[in-house]
Amino acid sequence: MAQFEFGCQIPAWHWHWDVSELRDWAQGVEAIGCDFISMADHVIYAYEREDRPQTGPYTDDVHQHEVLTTLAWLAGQTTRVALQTNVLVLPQREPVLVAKQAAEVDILSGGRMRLGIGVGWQWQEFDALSANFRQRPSRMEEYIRVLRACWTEEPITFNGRYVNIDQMSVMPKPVTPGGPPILFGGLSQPAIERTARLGDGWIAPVASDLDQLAELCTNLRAELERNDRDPDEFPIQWLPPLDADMSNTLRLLAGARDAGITRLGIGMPNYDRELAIPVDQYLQTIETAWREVWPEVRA
Amino acid sequence: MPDLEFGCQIPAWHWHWDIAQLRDRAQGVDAMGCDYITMADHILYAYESDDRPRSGAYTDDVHQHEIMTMMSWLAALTERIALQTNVLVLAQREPLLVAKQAAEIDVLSGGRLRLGVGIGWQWQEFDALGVNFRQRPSRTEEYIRVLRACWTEEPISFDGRYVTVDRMSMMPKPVSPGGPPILFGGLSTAAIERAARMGDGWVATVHTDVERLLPRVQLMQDALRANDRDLDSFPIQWQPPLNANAAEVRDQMIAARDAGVTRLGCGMPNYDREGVMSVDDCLRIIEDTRREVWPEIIAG
Repeated sequence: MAQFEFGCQIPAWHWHWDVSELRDWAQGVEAIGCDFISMADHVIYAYEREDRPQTGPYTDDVHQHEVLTTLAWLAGQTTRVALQTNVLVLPQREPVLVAKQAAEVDILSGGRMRLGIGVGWQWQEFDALSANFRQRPSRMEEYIRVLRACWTEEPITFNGRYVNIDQMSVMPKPVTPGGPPILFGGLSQPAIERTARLGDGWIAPVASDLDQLAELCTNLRAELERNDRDPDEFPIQWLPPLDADMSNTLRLLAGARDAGITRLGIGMPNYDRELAIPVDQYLQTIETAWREVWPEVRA
Repeated sequence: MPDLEFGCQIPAWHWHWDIAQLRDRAQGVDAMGCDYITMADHILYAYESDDRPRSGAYTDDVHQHEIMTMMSWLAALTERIALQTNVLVLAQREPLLVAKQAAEIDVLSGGRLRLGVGIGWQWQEFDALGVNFRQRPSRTEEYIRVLRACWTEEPISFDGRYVTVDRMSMMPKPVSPGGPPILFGGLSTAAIERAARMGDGWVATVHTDVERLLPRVQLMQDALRANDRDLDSFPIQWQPPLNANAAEVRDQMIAARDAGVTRLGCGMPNYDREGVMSVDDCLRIIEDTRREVWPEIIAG
């Protein structure tokens, strides 16, 4: 059985936390004993306009911290907790640089990096970054192979549709053997299939309810078996939204555990600036869940 | 004249220092009161092969730490010292991501980032990154404008030859007003001319010896005057190699200072693994230089 873990989502964008709040929160979560911190990614956001309606939960008032540099900074602010992108939009970045930066965070953190990746949805962001939005499934697959080549081969030679590397060197290699684990986000059928073929774990969408989760997990387990992989050894992660009501938190975490999810914890409570809570209050709720709910869930 | 500053180059690639050594070195110079720390940039290196001779100072045995994530980590581990890329090869990276990551480091460090940029020379690296090597002068110039747009405008719109941004948002903005200073590297006449037009300062290449440096400083000053730039608010940086011989360092620094270099200090002593020094030895030489040479340089 994959090991049970308890993780928390950092409010990296909508709450406008300053640097000291980010630090206090991460160090607080680590002191409580949590296993991992996860953090969202965007490089640039689309403003809503007449010919471009608002997409996703994002407003014009998003302060998104850059995920890889923030995780590198958190590597220097913490000592034990795993640091996870949740999720990095892989096809919109140049993959050798992603490999290099993820390897560096792994080195700087002593092997604590976990690379959660997704295909992305915000086409305006791809446009601005000169990345092809329609090619993102095929780029995703190729870029994953690029990451692993950069992390394990020396010299590196890669002949792909999008990336060509002719006998080059990327050193130092990550501390984690084989490179940081690559965890896949996404709930579409192609995403589930890709996860079962290529992933080191799966991240279920925060917005899922328990029935959806059970269905998705059943589907993923079947796909894993089709790929001759052991579903019991495959980490699945789901962080339900922060909720001060511990009986509800217990219900959600126990239900997710019964669905086969091993990495659980506390996600972001909302996407609304008005509902932002202070660091202390967030940490207090996490600690209560850790102390009162988690022992029962993992037992 | 801009304030005189004392900086140090961190051995980010050829000495294979582990992260404890890099941390101790950075914290050591921070504690000593040095003004800034600099670090080199590459993403990949070309192996030497029959049809591809080795270029530059690099061997196949380079362990180059990634510069933006390393600067961010150093932001967490230091208190006061400025953190400078020296130099980031701007044209081979996607510029919005450079803007975003540089802004982030500036935010996380409380406004301590300085972005040194250069045009690059290793065509194999551009190839592997899928970037056109021949366009790097025009890309560098456009990307500079992209960086400053991302750091100062909201919403951001940019209509360039390579980059098009249509009313997008990039927040939070850097702490440094207008964004981190952009310092231009490069000794070529084109690089100096570009620095005079667009730069917040100029970084002379570390490999340059003082005799070769002085005429280039003169050229830089001429270019600044030709562009109606104020010499007194334009830092010029050059660090002689780390050297235990204080008399030699004194002569080099006096010559450079008298020519108009305002940011001095200790560069890397060599590009050779054979000459690897311990952290303690490095810090001792830097401390000696600060004690025995620097007061005389500041006194003028």
